[in-house]
Amino acid sequence: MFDKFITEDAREIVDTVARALQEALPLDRLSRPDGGLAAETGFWPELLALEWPGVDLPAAIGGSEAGAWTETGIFREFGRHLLSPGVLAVTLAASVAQEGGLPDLARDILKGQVSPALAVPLANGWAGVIGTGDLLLLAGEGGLSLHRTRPEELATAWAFDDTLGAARIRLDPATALTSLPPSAQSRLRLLRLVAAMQNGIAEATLTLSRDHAATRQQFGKPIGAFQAVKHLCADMAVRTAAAGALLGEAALDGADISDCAAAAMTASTAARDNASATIQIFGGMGFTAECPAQLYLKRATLLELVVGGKEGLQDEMLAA
Amino acid sequence: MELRTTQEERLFREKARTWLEENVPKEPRPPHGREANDHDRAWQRRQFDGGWAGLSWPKEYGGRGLPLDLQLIWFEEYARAEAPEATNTLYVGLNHAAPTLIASGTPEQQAFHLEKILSAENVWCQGFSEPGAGSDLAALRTRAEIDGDDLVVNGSKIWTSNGHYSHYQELLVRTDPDAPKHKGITWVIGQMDLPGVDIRPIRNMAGGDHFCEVFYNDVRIPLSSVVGKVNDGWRVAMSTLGFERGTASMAHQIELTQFVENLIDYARDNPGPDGRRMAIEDDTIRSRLAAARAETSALKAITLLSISRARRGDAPGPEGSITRLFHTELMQRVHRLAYDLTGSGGLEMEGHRGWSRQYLEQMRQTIAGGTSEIQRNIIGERHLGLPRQPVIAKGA
Ligand SMILES: Cc1cc2nc3c(=O)[nH]c(=O)nc-3n(C[C@H](O)[C@H](O)[C@H](O)COP(=O)(O)OP(=O)(O)OC[C@H]3O[C@@H](n4cnc5c(N)ncnc54)[C@H](O)[C@@H]3O)c2cc1C
Repeated sequence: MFDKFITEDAREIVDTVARALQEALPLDRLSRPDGGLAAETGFWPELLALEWPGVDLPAAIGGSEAGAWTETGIFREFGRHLLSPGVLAVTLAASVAQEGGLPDLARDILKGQVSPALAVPLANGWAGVIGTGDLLLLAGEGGLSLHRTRPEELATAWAFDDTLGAARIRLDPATALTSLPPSAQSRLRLLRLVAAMQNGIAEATLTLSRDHAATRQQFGKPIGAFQAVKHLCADMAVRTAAAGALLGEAALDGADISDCAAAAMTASTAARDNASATIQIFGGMGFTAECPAQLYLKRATLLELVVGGKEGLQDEMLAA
Repeated sequence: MELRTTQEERLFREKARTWLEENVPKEPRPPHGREANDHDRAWQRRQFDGGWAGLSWPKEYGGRGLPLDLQLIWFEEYARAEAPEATNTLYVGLNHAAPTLIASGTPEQQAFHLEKILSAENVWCQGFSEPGAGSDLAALRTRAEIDGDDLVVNGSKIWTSNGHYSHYQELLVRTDPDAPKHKGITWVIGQMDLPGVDIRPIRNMAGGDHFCEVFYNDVRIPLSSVVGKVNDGWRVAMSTLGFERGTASMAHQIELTQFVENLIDYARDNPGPDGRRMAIEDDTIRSRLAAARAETSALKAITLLSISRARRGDAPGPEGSITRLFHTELMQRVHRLAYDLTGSGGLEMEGHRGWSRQYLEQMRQTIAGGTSEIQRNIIGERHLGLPRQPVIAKGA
């Protein structure tokens, strides 16, 4: 549904971004010692010219108002090409600042003068930070809030996904620059964009699995000839189709919180399950750090955490 | 199946408990690397010196010759004492190489190797899989030619766990390229420091480097290292795999049972993923915990059954694949539950008690040692007698 209804204009922009990513940020960048982060942030200025991160944000803060379809399509490409959750942090921090009455900050974010990072609440007053930055966007049950930090306040930890950093910090809710309730427009955007990235992951892992199943030979045949493998791939295709259909719903004008929650929930499950199946289909290779399947699994897991896990979305799903 | 507790069993349990209380290492096992291997060896050595290694091994091979039910009690006490994971870098030596040597080795091979395996003096690895031969193991191509009293080996192996910490390996080589594929294979003891052996570690998805690629360039191995006969390696290898899929993973199963109990305790004392109440009061968590406890009980029951079968002297058969499939997939479910319980998984690798890393580590379970798909084929074809999946017979 997403691909069927996306407008011609939106598709053109999204395709341009996809081609640029393909060329500038091939997946093998991720095996560099810094996890490819330098290559990615080095490419951000060019993405800026391609309308990200303000593609669906108001012109008043420097956005280009190209609409939710374009934004959703671009973030799906980000998921597919394993861009860091930093891209999500930038767009969302600008969105939260704008919605929370801080247009100057929003403008600075879009100009790249502030570097936002995503954070999620942990137990006992701690927040977990993905990567590093000087502005934290805390995405929790209570809604979204922005906090200033200095990188030296972050206590780094061994990251689950070592192509990204992980750190802890104590965040005092009273010091938030602005806080938005769970019903805020920016939260809908968060759910929709996470759904988009998870769709990218679900599609990318389906392609990886399909290609491997068609070429890897055992017992004198491509392994995709064995029903056990073929059916794993078929199930991946079904999950991907369901997630894609809901992504389209979430990108429609007037999509509400339950549309966006359904999209995020379904896409997160699809991304995680597809990535796990891909590891299985790659056999021993799937368990290596070199195989992108594991990165897709870790990213899918992390993105699910950003929307509060499955539990975090139950209320939205059952509200009406 | 008689499971009465005898006086002998009670005494044995008490002794085991006391010894474990006094001897289990206080420091946690390092997650991977050389430190983990050193830790495993020191701990195995302590068990060996204390007379707790090789409990069910035959006496003539340095074991204690105890019945499997006493071995099981040991594993239970072992898990209860939260002793280090039993599946460690010594696993291949203790659970594959030694049983193979006992079943098919020469008296010289047995005298030289078995005690050194039990005491952790020598670490072993398994050189079976190759880039082109994974599930289809019999397609292996690493070539060995007889030259005088030696085999001369050329080729490469992959996914060799702990190859870089090992002294010896169980090596499968092709000695007759013209024979049908199962018939031209030989099982040989390979020394890892022979000239021409080149070992390169591969990083895995959980941050460790436990498996390796191993290259062989004109490596000379004396024919006296062949286990079984030349060209009879497939049969020798299958007896080892059968062992792994049968009772050898008992320790691991009991650890899993203990782990589920730990999860239940944790869920009683800690808030659930939604942060609003204790995890155990969360209905979804609650039902997953209940299922996990029931399923680990089922696993234990299946294991007891296979013990009583083994006691009757039956060789491990295809039902080993049932245990293995149930066990490995259950492990993944349980570790996924542990991961979901902590709430911060996905961010930090060590996180809560290392549960996030464990979740990743468990991805190996349904691949290593025969994938789930292959186990299902074995159950369908050999256990249920369903028609074989059509495969292109390449001389097989
Ligand atoms: C952590 C780890 C440790 C390991 N340690 C060792 C070791 O120490 N020594 C060693 O020799 N090997 C080791 N292995 C290798 C392991 O035995 C192989 O990875 C495994 O047998 C699968 O082979 P493969 O990787 O080539 O995958 P493939 O055989 O290429 O399988 C790819 C996919 O195809 C499926 N498939 C293949 N054939 C069929 C079929 N007929 N029907 C249905 N589905 C099929 C598989 O199930 C899998 O999903 C290890 C592997 C891992 C992950």
